Amino acid sequence: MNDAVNIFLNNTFTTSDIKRRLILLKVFIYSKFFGSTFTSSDYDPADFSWLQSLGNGFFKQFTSTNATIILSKLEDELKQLPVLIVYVPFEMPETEFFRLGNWLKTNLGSNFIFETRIDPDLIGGTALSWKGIYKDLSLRETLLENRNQILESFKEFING
Amino acid sequence: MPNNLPIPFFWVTILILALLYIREVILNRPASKLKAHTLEEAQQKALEIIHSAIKKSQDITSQGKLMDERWKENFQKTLDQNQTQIMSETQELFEKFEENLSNYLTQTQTQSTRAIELELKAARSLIDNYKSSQLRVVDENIIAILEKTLSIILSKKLTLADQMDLVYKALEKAKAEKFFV
Repeated sequence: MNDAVNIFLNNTFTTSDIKRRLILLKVFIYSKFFGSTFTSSDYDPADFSWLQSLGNGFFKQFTSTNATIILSKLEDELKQLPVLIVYVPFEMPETEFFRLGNWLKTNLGSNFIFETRIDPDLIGGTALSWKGIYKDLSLRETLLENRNQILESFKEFING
Repeated sequence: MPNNLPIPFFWVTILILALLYIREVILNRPASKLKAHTLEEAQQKALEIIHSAIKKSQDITSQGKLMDERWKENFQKTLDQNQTQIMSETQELFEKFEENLSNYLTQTQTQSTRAIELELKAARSLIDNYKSSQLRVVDENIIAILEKTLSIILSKKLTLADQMDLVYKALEKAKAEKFFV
């Protein structure tokens, strides 16, 4: 099952991707084994491309008798994965999601998934929430940490 | 001189009385040698009396003059003494007044200076307190203002690449601090 999770997460980075692709996978499997009228032309090209990327080895494990069980287990395991919440002060485009996801998988582990939330007060940088711990690494926090130094510099500037 | 007036007046009165007495003696006594002698004697006596009276009058007058001069002298002396004393006392009074006035002015000046210094001190203290409180308010708000300013400026100035660069730097830092354990 871990292999299935790893394959599923290969190009999947965010919780919304997981939710969407789980539904997509279920539709694809059910149509294959339970005679759905869904054809390849009904899929979004990107989604279809992702399904193809899973490979034949991934789909071989599914049969008409275990498909529901495997999908259910896969869903459970995916739900149990810890999610890194990344707070950013701007709206991140889709391309950056892909880049950030790759960075996380390369640097922290292949099962790393994340989701972004917008917090304009951060000014720059990011704040992270991981396993219930919040860490602010933004410019706002840097300003607060260096508050006294900034005040001194400001006073020196004012006093000439 | 009022003191001299009664003395000649007294002697003139005596003279008049003496003449009246002589006239009475002459008119009432029979013309005789005794009478003539008596009359002559009386006349002589009257003349002596008059002479004595005049002499006494002159003595008294001279004595009066002398007394008058002495009195004048004493008066002048007393006046001089009094004048000196009055001048001395007046001088002393003025000196004392001047001293009191000077003391009063010095005291008033000291009190005024002290009052002004206290007011000045209170005003300075008030200004310092106000300045401190205002600076504290500025200190408290400066970071918020800076934060807000940076937020406005950076949101316009930072490109997506810059923003993402900051995100990756933050992630690198979190990784180095072993945040993802």
